[in-house]
Amino acid sequence: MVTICLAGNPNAGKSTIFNALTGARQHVGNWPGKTVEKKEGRLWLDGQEIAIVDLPGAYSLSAFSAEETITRDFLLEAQPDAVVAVVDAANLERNLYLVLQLLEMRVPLIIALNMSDVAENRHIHIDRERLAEWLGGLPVIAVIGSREIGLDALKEAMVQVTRRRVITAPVYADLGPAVEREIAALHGLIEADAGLKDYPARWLAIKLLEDEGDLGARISPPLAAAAAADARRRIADETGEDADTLIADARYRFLGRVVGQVVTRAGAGGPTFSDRLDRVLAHRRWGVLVFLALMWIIFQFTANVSAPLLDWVDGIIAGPVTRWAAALLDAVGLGGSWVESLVVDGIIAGVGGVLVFVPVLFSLYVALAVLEDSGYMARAALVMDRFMQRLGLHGKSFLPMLVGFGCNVPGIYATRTLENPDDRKITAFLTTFMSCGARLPVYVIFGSAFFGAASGGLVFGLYALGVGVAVLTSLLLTRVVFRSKTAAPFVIELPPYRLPNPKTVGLYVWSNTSRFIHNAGTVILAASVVIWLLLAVPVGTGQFAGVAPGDSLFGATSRIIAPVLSPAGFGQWEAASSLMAGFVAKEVVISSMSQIYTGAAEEDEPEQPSTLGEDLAGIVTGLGEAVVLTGQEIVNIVPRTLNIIPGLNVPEANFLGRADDASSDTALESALRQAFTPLAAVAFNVFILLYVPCMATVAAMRQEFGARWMLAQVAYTLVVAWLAAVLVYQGGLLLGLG
Amino acid sequence: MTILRQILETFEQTDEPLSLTQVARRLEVEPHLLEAMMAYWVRKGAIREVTTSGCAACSLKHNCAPLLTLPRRYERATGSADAPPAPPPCACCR
Ligand SMILES: Nc1nc2c(ncn2[C@@H]2O[C@H](COP(=O)(O)OP(=O)(O)OP(=O)(O)O)[C@@H](O)[C@H]2O)c(=O)[nH]1
Repeated sequence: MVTICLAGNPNAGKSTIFNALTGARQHVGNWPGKTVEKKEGRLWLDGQEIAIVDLPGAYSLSAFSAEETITRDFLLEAQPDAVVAVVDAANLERNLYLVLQLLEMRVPLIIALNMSDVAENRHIHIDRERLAEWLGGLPVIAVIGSREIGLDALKEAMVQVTRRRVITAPVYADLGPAVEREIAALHGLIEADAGLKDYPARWLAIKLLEDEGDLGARISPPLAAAAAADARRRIADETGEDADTLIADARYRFLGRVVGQVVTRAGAGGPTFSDRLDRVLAHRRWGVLVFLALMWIIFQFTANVSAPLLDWVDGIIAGPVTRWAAALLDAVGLGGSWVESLVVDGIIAGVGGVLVFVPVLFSLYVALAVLEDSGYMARAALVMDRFMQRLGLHGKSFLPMLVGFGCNVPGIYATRTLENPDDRKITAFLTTFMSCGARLPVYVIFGSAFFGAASGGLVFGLYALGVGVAVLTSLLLTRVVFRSKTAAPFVIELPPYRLPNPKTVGLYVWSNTSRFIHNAGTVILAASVVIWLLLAVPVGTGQFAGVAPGDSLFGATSRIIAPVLSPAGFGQWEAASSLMAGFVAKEVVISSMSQIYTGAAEEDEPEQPSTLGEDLAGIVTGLGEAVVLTGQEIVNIVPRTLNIIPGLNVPEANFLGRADDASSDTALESALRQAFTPLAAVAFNVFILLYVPCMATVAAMRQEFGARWMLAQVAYTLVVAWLAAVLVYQGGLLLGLG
Repeated sequence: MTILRQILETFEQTDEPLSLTQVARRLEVEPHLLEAMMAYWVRKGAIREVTTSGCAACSLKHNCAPLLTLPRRYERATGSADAPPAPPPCACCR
């Protein structure tokens, strides 16, 4: 029976093509004496049945691995009627190395250029006719195995080759004078030997020079093997190099020449859909504008669109959940005790205050995941990189910073993508100025307390300020501290655009949101309890858990620091203490403010008794309303964006026909309005943005760059945050914004 | 001297892992060809790739901007197995 085998590098797609050719007609076993899988199948072709063998993946035909030995021995012993070399078109250099050795063996060969789709996506154009010429006239067929494209042409080539209708010229890489001389000598020896007549002579000579141990031992008489040992020694003496390295080197040089003539990268072929999109999205100037516009929309999205859901969650936690907890504690006789204070004022206010922001982060992560999975993020990196290079910054640094928008910690690890250690340090330093997801809740709560619908603008402004400070810091570091050298060119493989995959987006959103929730259940919970304790312990006179926050241990400590912050407009101890707490994690700023500010406010809210049923019904109708309002906010992105243009006043949608009132205000928001002036609130947010990132980030800095760099980071961020906040506040006062 | 030998010597001159682009620039070899040539020394156990296994399981790895720029880095595979610290799980994808 006619036998055809498939050979190729691991992962070139042999199995895929094998399955496509044989369908269900296959048999899977093991190669004799090996644990390597052997797959055989049948195919009707040209009126006869053909056996197809899928050889194990191999990069070469040495005795390097079991796979390679099996492939080599099968080709030698079974003498198949044709060999289909499955070649990954996107990695031609590496794959042709095996092909070159198959050519040396003089097996009847067909080249299946698989993964042609991948090559095309990467703008790799292969001139197949030229390649066929270089390879002595072999059939070279473009195939997309996974989509069964090109298989008919492949089958046709198989028929032609097995019928010996294809005439090919021998192709050898010139292995250099020293090696070629020895090959010629061995060639004669091998041809004169009747015992070796089954071996292709040149191929065997090369193999012996490469010192394939097992092959040399197997051939008998061992005359040629002995001669090869002498030849190797002569080559080494003459050239100062091992024969096998010389041979491999010559093969690669040959391949270099072939590929140089056959392959054109980038730009070849008509523009794809991605190319056309990139004319705008990856454009030097337009690209930056598009990026900024997208960021604007994202912050509208996170700040305003999530607000109705946020209010809904807040209503549940502040209302029913708190009431149920209090009722439960009453029932077990702990009502009014310090335990109730711990649970209600400490844990529920602290953890709940953070959990309220799940909708905000959810929308942020959805937006980031969509940008990433659509392939846009790579463009953003490219565009911003060019932009920053114009500012004199080195390449690639923007990427970890982009990652830092989600969370700074992985941003710092992502600096590992930079090659130069100085670049890494600088970039990690800058990454902490990227406003992470955990800082967002603080902006959102201040934004909605002070600026209402304009809070998206505040958030956008803060993110932009973070980037601005990073740029200035980078100038300082590259010009003064490191005196960096020339920027490394930026290499990024732009993936084709695609519709985001809901599953990938879901996974991303889930893993990040669940981390936030997990954080709330661990770090934030612990911090809330500690803060409650510090607030419960009186300084001087007073009673445990019965002291006014200002007279507690926390209050007293914060009072020492507070004056330092007065020039920035928020010299109250409450602000100082939440900033201290924020070092643990930025979410804790919110939970400590919830405890401090609302602890006092709660008293004057009359308890409305309600039944469980009423509570549940309220939650459900609340959700319905929140969904409608979310839709309204999405629609309103348009007028709010247009209204930035001076003179324009596009009316906003109002689905429920409600007057704009403060009814949706949370207790914390109204407390904040009493404690801060709008200007001080902005200064406070600037401080939050810039000051020491959370513990986890500081730990990551230490792990990656050592304690000194970490301390420098902590000190620098504190100073910058203070300066910036003071500048904003004092500047605002001067401009009469107080 | 063969290019293959020059590649190996480049790695012998430094303790730092080197990326393909760095070596390609130094030796003026086309990077894709260099990558294929590197496979020769990797197979011989003289050079090994510095792995970024942390990202292997990440759902975003095909579009992850940092990962797409991550240079493949190689280092000399010396007998002493002081392997570089393993990257934390999925550092690049948040
Ligand atoms: N995009 C694309 N993917 C392909 C193509 N052919 C195969 N693949 C995919 O490439 C991967 C590897 O294919 P396999 O057929 O398992 O490769 P192999 O050469 O048999 O690999 P080994 O068994 O390791 O030797 C699979 O995920 C295939 O779906 C192709 O033409 N285009």
